[in-house]
Amino acid sequence: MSGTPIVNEIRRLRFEHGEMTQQALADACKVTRQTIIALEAGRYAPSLELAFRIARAFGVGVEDVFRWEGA
Amino acid sequence: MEQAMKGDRRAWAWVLAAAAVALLGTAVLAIGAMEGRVHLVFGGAMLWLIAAGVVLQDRALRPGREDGMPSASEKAAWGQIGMALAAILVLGGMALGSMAGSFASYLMFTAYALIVAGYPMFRRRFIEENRRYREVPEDERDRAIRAQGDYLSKRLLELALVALAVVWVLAPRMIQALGEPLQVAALLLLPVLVANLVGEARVALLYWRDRQ
Repeated sequence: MSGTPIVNEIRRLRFEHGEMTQQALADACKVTRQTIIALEAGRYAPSLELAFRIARAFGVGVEDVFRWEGA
Repeated sequence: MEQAMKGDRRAWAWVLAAAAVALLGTAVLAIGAMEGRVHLVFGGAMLWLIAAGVVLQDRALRPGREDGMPSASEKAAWGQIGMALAAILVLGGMALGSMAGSFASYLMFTAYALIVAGYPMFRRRFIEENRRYREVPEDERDRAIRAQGDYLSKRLLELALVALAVVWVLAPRMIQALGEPLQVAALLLLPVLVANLVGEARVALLYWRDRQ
């Protein structure tokens, strides 16, 4: 998977949520830890469903986690 | 510390195994070249390719950024690469006339045909056994990566079958020169294996790139 124009705040949100581990977030969203690593590195753009799952795991809206680069 | 030493020992074991396979490949290649036997030259070259695959696999499956360990799906891709290389070595040799007329060749052909047919089942089982407790076996990213490999495999297979059909029509003697039905059968399985190999190599490359 190549780079994506969608940037995210997953890393910051994890640390703001009691230093949640990548594995804990992965388990909460029913994905592998490798996917969380790829998302944080901006190498993978999630599906809409996964974006909502991640936002729900942090208790915030999707727009608080993801945004279009430069917007 | 102890883990790192264990990892180093494992890496060296893989390098030694690859060196042994490459040495064997060189010997087979030399004998094939001296005696003018095409299937031995092919076998020697394939052994070299397998040795290169062993070294690449060892390098590629090391932890990446943020201790990103390879997923079960990534390991499964390397498993399929190894299986395809071994199958191409055996079936390619058969197509070129190795083991012609022997009962063993029929047994080998049947075994490899069954492995190829049953691989999706073996793959699922491998992923189930290699995942962490309660971890999802595969997710949408795995499926997206796999889709790219499958697309490449499908295109290659289509092109290979078109090429084979053209050869069959334009130069039928080349096919008729294959002495036994088993040689033709092995030749027909080869495009499937090569397409699988290239597709899985693409999958392995995408996983590796994601972890760097």
